[in-house]
Amino acid sequence: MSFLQPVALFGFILVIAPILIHLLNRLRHRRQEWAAMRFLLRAREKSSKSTKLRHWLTLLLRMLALICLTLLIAQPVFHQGESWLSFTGQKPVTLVCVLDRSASMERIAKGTTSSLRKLSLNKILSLSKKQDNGRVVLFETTGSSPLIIDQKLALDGPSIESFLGPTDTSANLPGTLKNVFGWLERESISNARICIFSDLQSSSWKLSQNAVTLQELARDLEQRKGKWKLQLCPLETTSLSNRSISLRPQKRTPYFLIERSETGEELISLEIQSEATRSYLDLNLTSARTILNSSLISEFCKDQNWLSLSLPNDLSLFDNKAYLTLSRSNSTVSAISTENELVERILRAAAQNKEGKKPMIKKLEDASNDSDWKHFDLWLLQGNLSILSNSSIQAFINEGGAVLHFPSTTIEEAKEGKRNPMDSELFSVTQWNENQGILANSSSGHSLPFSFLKIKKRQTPLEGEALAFYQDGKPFLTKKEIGKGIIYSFSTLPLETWSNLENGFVLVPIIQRILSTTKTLSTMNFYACGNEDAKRFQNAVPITGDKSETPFLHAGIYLKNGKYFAFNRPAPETDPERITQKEMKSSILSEHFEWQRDPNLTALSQNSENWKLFLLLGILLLLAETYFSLPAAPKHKQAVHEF
Amino acid sequence: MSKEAKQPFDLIDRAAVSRFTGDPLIGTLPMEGSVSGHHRSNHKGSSVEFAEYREYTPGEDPRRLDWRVMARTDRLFLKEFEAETNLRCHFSLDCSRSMSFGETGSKFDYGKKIIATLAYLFLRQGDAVGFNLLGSRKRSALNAKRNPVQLQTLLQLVQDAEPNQEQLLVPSLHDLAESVNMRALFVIVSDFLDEPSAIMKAIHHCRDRKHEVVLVHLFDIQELEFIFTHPTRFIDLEDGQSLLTEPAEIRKEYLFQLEKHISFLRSECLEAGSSYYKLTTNIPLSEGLDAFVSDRNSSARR
Repeated sequence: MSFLQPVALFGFILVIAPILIHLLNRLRHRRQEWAAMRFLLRAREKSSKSTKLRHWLTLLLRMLALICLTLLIAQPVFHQGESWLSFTGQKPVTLVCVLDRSASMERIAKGTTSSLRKLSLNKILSLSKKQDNGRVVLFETTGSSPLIIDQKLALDGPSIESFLGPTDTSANLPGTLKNVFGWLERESISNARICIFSDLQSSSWKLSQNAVTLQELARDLEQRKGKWKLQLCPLETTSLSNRSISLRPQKRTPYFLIERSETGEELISLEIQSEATRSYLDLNLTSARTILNSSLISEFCKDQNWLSLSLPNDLSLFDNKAYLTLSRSNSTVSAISTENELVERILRAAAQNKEGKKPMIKKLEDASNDSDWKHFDLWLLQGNLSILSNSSIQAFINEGGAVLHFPSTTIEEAKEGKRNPMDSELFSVTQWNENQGILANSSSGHSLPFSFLKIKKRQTPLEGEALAFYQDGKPFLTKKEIGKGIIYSFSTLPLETWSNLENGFVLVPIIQRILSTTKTLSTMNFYACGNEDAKRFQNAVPITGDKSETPFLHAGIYLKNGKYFAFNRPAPETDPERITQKEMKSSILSEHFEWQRDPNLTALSQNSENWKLFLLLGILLLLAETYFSLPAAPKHKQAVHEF
Repeated sequence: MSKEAKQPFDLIDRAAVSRFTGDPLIGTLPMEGSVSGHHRSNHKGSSVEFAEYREYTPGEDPRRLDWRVMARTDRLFLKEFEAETNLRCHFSLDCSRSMSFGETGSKFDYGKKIIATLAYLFLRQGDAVGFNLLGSRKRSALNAKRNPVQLQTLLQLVQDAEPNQEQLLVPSLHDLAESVNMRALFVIVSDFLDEPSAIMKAIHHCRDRKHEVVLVHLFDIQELEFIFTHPTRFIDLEDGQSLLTEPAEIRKEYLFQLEKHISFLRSECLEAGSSYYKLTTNIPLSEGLDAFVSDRNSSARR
């Protein structure tokens, strides 16, 4: 047992106060001359035993009441396995609440009409009211600074909406817990109760990925020997039917995924809203998961900057919307950087867009310190493979740009000559993917005229997925995805000395097809809320005009530097998979970790209850003391004269 | 005591006198008086009230023969009538120190007024009154006389009395019983704070000597109610013995003991053919003596 206010233990000295008062009372008696002393003496003789007992009892009750009062002020704290006579000081217990603020917490809580997040906030508020002593600190998963809660703070008030309001982010609870432990360490808080309010969505915990972190947390808990306690309050969601739509950025071809908790057939009306139009698409959903191709959807909103897809309202509104950006123009801007002027001329002619705009010319030596790449979508490069590692080119590719690479003329020619002595021998492309991709057959079924293509020289292209092969199995054209971007690499040049690509019957369709896909992909500026990327968009303005919305926390379309960016809820937030108690217990192996389904958290208020018990006991003792010490009520005055 | 109260006659309660004047105060037992009065005598006399027939004995006064009976029966009978005589009322006032207790006025002063008032009333109807102090070592007895000067003498004695003597109630009562030879009415005014059995023994002694005894038990209101809220040190007026106690704690037992004492005296007096009156000093004397006078009146009607 230890005490929060050990100084108050000096109050035990007060125990002698009743004795002093008793003695003082005896000194302060009044004197009364009396005639009928014989009756007084007899009365005292008869009642002395019971009177003495009452006196001693009254004295004892007064002393006990003072002991209770002293203990109430000293606020004893009981620890398991600690000696009862350890009269040491105890620092107040800090209650740290950790709120899972991921998008999935906007689901409706079981048995209520409010969201899991609001339910958690109510519980935190009621906990903070019960916390008689010590601070209450609130952490949340988007990485804001800890919030000190006092009892006057309205947790659902607009002033702290940005701290506790709904988000479209994901959560990393092990990481947040690590931050909490670090904060407790930095603040030198010796006694703490950490309560986690989470829906236990697997994607918010990622137990396997965070196994090391969780083990470290468990080790910290054990080292603290119970002074830090971790309690997990799992929140249950309602099992009512729900629909959700999310953008799945799978590789470079994002698609919309509609998921349903019910598997039966359902006809819904999908609202497709763009900058200027609003249209509806009737969908007959036959399975739990339905995929919508983004290119298909974008056809509804031609010449628009963005579109949003909305499902009909259901109980959970947070997962009914998804956003995508589009290109206002059908044309793609491209640039050319070559080391050979002839190659440059041929490519410039081949890469002309539908509007007739020719690619801009950029010098290779300027590419490293040039930021003009932000203004075009396709970069046609000719040169050594090493130029692909150029920082500007890398940044361009990562941002979603497409690069079409051709081998160098000078150096590679010499090398290839050495390696391949049969220069006079012609190579032909015999295999390519006719079904999909940039080499696919046309809609009328005609294949690309590779049979007319004669290659005199060739170079090993960039390593990647081969799209077409020579007859000897070597790659003619490869594709490699880096970040959001893509690199196409040719093994030959459109020069007469290399091949007859310069004729254009193969080169032009390939470049045009690359242009058309690049147009779609490079203008799809979509990000997931809560990611590091989203932090770079702090100054982005939401198209809704609501200044409280930020791309880091809220899904939507944002405008920055004249470009539109779509921010969506992370796709895993709709996953229904939850962590079980067993899994969690096995991940955090500590006896100081509790699975506290009951939100009352009785363990927390146990000390407070003990103190209230002292108060109650003290009052009872005082009442008993009053009963014993009160003089007998005088009888009603009677007429005493009687003859 | 006020200036006016120093006059002996001021001891007489005028309200009581005006209320009880005209009401005869008659003794309940036959009295042995020297002159004719209102009270029944133990001898036969010449009043109009028939007493009995008795056979004539030679030598007796032939005038008292009933001639009519003799004419009818030829036998000699004497017709006798009740005699009425005066009463000797002897007042006794306890002068122990306990009588000086009183919140507003002491029991002793109240007792003085009772004696003065009753003495006046008895003298007024022709009875003899006497007085003595119980417990006083000096000779302070005044023999019962019926002359008008007796009132002045008695009042002076009463006024001069002081409650500063030790508790000698019981021996004084025995002395009184022996010292008065003729039948008399003893009015004993005291707080009777002595052993009740000893008191009753003294009362029985008086009764054996054919005296009629009336006990007037005086109380102060504090003694009857015993309401004290603070720890109090009680100091005995008799011997200075002190007792520190919490009055509230012993009140119940105190009142029980007091009531027990009163009940004993009352029942023993009834058994001994004596009268017992409990008076509290905070009530006017005219009301306090009402029961006493009523009882005397009713015995007159019998």
